[in-house]
Amino acid sequence: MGKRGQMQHELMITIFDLVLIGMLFLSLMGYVSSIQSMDFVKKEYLSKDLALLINTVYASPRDITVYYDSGISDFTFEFQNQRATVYETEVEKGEPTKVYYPFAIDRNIARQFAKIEGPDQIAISKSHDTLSIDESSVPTETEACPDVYTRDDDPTIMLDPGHGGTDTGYTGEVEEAQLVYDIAKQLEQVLPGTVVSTRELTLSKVSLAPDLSTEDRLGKIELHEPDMLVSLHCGKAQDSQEVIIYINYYNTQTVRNKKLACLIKNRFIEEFEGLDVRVRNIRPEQFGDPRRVLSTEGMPRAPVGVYIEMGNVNTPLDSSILASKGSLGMEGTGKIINDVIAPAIRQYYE
Amino acid sequence: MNKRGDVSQVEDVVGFLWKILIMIVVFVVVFLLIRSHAKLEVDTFEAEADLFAFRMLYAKGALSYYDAEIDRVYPGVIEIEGFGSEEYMDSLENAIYYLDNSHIAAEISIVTEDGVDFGPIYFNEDYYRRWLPIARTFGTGPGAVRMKEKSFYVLLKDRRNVDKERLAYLQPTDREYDELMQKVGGEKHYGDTKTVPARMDMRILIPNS
Repeated sequence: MGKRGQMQHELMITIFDLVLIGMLFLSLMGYVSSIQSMDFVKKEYLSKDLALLINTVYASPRDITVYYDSGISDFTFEFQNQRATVYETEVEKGEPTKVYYPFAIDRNIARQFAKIEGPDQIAISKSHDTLSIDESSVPTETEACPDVYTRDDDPTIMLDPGHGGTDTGYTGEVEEAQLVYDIAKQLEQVLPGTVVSTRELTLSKVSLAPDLSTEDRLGKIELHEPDMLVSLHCGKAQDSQEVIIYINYYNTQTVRNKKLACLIKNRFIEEFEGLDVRVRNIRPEQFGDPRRVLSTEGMPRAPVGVYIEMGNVNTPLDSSILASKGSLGMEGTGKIINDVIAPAIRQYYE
Repeated sequence: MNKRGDVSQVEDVVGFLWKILIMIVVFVVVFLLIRSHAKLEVDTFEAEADLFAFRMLYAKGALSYYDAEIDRVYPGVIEIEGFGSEEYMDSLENAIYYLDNSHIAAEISIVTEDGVDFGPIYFNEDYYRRWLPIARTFGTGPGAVRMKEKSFYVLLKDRRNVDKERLAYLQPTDREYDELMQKVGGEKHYGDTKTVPARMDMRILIPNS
């Protein structure tokens, strides 16, 4: 073989090597990409999760409603033929791949299973003789609250404005720490009984106050032994305007916690039309800071407690709060204070 | 081409084969490494077996006693009269009904403190008998069957001795019940024959999908 032939030969070998490496690289990239998108796994997870949840609702000896909202808005759900079927609501080309998992029905109970496209939340509800699955809508009506005796003429109420000091909390149109601090200052004036707070409510700016850890807050709750704890916070979701009221579902005050949360929720619904208000039962020890302030483990006396996340810092609920850009001043009063939280607490102690 | 050229061509072919072999090995190793770190399956066996057992025990129309007059289920109180009869099994199948039978099967038996056995009864018996030998092997992957055994402490109730007022008190623990009975001057729980403490054993088989 001549010198030129030798070079051509080596060039061919090199090209062959590069083609091999290229094929290998592309195959692996394709595989990694398919894992990264995880659509199939997510659909499998959702179908299994929903099928087992339906089995759980059937297993309940009493009537029950469960709300499911775990990242489901991109998918369509069908429940025909005893299968929880999940697929993408929109696909770029072709038909979506359907993934399903079976569940067991109770043939003694009627079924109303709707096809649900791109829901924010699915409600699975079992009543006496019917199991229904439908898209859950935002609650627009007030509900009956637990009828438990809670009258007290001189309760001790502890306010807990979240964050403060160097910790501003979420920041957007307003600063969370300053917003909830201003609300706490005004609530102090209008609440019944004796009002105490986890931090002093005499400063104009909460940034001037010392930092306060959850341990410090829990220490103050233990020291003052209040009858009620109201922890005030804001969220940061860009698009949603919602209120979440967290309660400790695992302490001795569960029924009273539910009553207080229910009264506050009803007031929010009455005052802010179309507002999405939810009560979430949590075990605060598992949620970590700052919701751990509801934790009463080891305390000799557990107060009734709610942790309220009011709207979000980009579009605060009350227009008067928005106008003040995070500094209400003592003269500014919002609906949240006068028409929601304070009356709900008064009603709780009536 | 001379002899030297032939040798060179053989060397090239051997070199190609080596390269392809090494490429395949690298590909497989990288593929397995990625796969071992990516979770592509959701294993619900444990949850599903537990859920099936609890549904058997708690759901209306399943194993626990149901009082239709007041629409109340007494979880953990098993009505032993007719246990395993055709009507009983029909009722059970209606309460937990899978369209596709090849999904779950179970054996349920009850033994009292005195060693009296009831059952076993079977949920989806044909598949149970077919799957049990497979479940006892160590096979994994598609086609294999996984097995879970659970035990519950229950109370057996005889329909002939129904006493709803007292049955309501059976929801607390036995000790609480005895104390309560002593307070109201009633009978001791363990001296009568209305309810009998027992253990319910369940063996649940679920094939891998």
